[in-house]
Amino acid sequence: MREKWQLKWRNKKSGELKKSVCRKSGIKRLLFLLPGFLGVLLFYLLPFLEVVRRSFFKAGNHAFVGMENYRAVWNNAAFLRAVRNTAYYMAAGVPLLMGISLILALLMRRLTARRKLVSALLVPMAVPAAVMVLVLRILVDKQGLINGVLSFVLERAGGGTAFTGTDYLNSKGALAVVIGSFLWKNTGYMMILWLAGLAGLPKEVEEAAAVDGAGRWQRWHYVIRPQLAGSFFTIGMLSVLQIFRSYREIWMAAGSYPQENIYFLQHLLQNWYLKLEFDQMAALTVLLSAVLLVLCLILQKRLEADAG
Amino acid sequence: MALGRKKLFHKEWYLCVLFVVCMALSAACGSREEETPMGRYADRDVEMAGSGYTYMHPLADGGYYLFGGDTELTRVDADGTVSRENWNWEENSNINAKFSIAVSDEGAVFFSYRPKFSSNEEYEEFAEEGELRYLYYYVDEEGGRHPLELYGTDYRKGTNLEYFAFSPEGRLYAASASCVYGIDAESGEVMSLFQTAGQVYEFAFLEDTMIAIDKEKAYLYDCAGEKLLDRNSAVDEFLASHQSGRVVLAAKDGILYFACRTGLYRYIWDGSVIEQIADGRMVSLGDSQYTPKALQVLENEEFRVYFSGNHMVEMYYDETLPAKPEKELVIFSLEENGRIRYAGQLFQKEHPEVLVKYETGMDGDNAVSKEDALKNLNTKLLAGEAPDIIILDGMDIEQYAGKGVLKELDGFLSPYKEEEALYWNIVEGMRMTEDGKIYSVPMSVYLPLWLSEKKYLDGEDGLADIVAGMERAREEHPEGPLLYTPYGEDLLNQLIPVCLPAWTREDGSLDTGKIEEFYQAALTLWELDCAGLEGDAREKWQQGILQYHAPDEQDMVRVTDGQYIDYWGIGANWAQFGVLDNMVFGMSSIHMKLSAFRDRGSKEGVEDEVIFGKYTGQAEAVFWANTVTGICEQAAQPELAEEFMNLLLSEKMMDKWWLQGSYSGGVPIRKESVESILDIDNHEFAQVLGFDDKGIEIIYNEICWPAEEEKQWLYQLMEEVSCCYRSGSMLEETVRNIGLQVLGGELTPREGADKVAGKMAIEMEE
Repeated sequence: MREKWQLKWRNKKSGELKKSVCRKSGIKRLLFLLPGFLGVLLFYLLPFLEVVRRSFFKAGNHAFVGMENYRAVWNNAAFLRAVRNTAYYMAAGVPLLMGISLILALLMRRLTARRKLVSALLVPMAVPAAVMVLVLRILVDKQGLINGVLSFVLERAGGGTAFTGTDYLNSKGALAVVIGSFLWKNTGYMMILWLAGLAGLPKEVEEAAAVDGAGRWQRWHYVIRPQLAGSFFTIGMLSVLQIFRSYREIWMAAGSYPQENIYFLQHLLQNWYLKLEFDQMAALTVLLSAVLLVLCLILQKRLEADAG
Repeated sequence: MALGRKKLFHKEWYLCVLFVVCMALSAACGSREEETPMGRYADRDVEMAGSGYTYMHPLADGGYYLFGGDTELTRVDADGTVSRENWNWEENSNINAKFSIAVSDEGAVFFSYRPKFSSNEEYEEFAEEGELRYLYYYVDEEGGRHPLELYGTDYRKGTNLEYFAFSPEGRLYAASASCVYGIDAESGEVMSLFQTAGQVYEFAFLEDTMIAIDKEKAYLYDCAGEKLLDRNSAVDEFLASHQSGRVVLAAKDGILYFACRTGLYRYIWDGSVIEQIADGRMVSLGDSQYTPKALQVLENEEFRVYFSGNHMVEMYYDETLPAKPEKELVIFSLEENGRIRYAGQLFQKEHPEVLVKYETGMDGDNAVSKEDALKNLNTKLLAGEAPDIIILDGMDIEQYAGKGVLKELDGFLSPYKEEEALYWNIVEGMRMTEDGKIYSVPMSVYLPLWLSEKKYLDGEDGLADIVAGMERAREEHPEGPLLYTPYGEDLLNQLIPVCLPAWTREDGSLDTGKIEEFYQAALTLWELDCAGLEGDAREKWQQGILQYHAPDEQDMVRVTDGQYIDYWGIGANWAQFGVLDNMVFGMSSIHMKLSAFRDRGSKEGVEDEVIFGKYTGQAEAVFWANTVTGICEQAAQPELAEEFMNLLLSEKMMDKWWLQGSYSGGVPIRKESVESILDIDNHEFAQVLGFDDKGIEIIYNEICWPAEEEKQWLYQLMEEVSCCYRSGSMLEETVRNIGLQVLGGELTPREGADKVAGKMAIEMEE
């Protein structure tokens, strides 16, 4: 009986000790997290809350205007144009980037000279924006390489027919040029992410499926794809973010008011900043953040459902 | 282990407590009322011993020498006694213009000069050894004059020596673009001392050490040991960070002093720190009008600074002034504006209790674009750190006014209206269409004018008249250019200011019909111009290879005398368009030069033919506002801002600015100032410089002041203008860019106008 009691007491004591240790280590973890959390709070969350607050006030006299700024944004034709163009850009750019980089990753994962090729494909990522814009201009300008080649070919074929080139960045093909440069810059990096995801898959499962007679497509569809769901989410999100980050090159190549089909949301935000439309900018930023958040959540849910 | 954790945990708490205590203590320190530290350098103007001086040599006893191109050597003693050496320069007619000068403590003078030539043979003989070379002259302490022929084993004949200095011992040193030399002033023998990376332009002597500086480095030379010494990193760093302006040196008692635009500095030799002892913004050193040329250290750490323009100040330490002014007046402009910097200096002198801070968005030293500069300004506005005064040149005034950044000025300007001091039509031209209020006012305006033979451009019906006139000119002169527009962009730039205000309707929408009409006129003018320049003639003209001059018998050539290169560009073409930018020396737009306003009709035989006329485009009565100033609604010092505006619009500022030699910048909007500037009989200027086709000889043209009738014409023009052209808008840029495609034949005028509308659609949607 005594022994039983002693054991019980000891267990209780050890439980309390464990709890106490956990509590202390929990506090320590919190303390370690605190600087990071404070940083996020100070430099991201609080400024964002200030942006949210400003979105309900007029910029000049700071008068409360309720949803007026949101209404103004919604009724702004430039906003609708920018949203439409950004959506087209995203709808074409993200799947193409993910698809091409995935195909390249699948092709390359069995190559022995993979490292050198990967390095080569990463070069565009390291190219400074100014150089990239210069290369783009050399290619697509009216007197650029593409027009030069076309002129040469057409003159040969047509017996000296004069060819007047097109400034592609100022034509209806501008979106295609932008998507092309976006793919050129980001494919290598995304491919590495896919390769990392693929390297983490257990080979045994794929080998077992092959032994069981599964073909390449079946192995991809039933074995590899489901296991890549995590990578899919990460790479998808990064691709979306890269779309927004590609603005700098577009701006450098085509200016604040480019061809109308490559006028994106960032153009609008930048121009509004120059025009002191701080109130509408705040409203647009809040809207944009909300859309991106919803997009993330949907994507995450969808992938979780797929994985489940 | 547990104990260790416990201790560690305690340590964290101790750290937290210590942090809180420190914060509390620092907060307590901050809240304590501090006494304002007193004392800082101020300056007073020195009355000059005469005019025309360009050089000052300080003497160790507090006196100094003054010398210049056409002046006697003047010594001013420490007690102010003035004595002059009359050397009868006119006896030596061979000296055309003096350049660099050096004076020794004993009064010896050394200078470089260009000679006069009495015959072509004389010139050709000289030119054989390098037509741009200098000659040298030495005047000894006794006044003995010695033209010197420099020679030396490591001195190449013809190498120009740009800067000279006498050491306290009387040794003469000189610097070429890449070398410092020692010169024996008696014999003319030159010895190379050391090579330099850049042009050395200033010397100082600290005991036996010579300090010679170029834009980036200081070279230290042991004069006694005759060897180059190790570099001084503190001085090098200082020079590298002050490359944008001239730095002058003075040495005394082991201390080296530097004076430059940013202030006065002290360096205890071989130390590691260069200490600022006077802030340039609070003394004349920061004045953009003047460049420091010599520095003298006086007793009790007082200083004398000699500036370009024969201006001198004495700097003294004033204990009654607060070390740092309690108030700040912040002025912002996109680009450097000399007039505003000058006004800031005037204001600073009048208000020693205020620190005038003049900030520029694009200061030239960095590669900040206009867009980035505007973003920086907007960030400040967003953060509530608005400047007090904004100079709105190159900025969208309507936008800043519409967003509540600018203060309404109707009330502030009403006394000026009552006084009728300003051209009120111009002030009215600044009224915003949206709310009918005035938020900004220009200091001056450019007036669009043309210069041509009367028979070509005599109508006032805008573009149609210009096109018709040029068609007539082309018929009479089938070859050569018609307008001074080598490039298509030049033509567009000359047409846009008088047309742009007509492209926007009252409701803010774009009038594409007007833009098409503009493109059509520009295209016709361009084609007419090109018709006289066949093949690669235009390209050669653009490169300056081909010069077009009207034949000698043509009237226009007589404007500038046939034997000389056409100084004003007239005669190379048959009409010029531009703006009256410079009232006294001549008119020039930013794109070209026109002739002097006062020269209109001043040459015999051409007064009825070559004339200036009112230049009308699609918009009428256009003026180009310059130095447009507004007060910020959020200004921290609104009273000071208004006071500064009053200074800008004052007679003192407007007259003084123009009368002190800065004639560019258009016509002042103060009526009395315009009259005062045109009343130039009392002014010193009576000649213009020109060069013959050898680029050597300086010629002096007689200047004829404008006749009363011409003055009245200008006053009337000032009374008439009412429509403000504001440069740098998105519409202007778009029309210019697409206009080049129209002139190049890629687009028709209609297509061009449609493209402009398409491009502008987004901007308008925003």
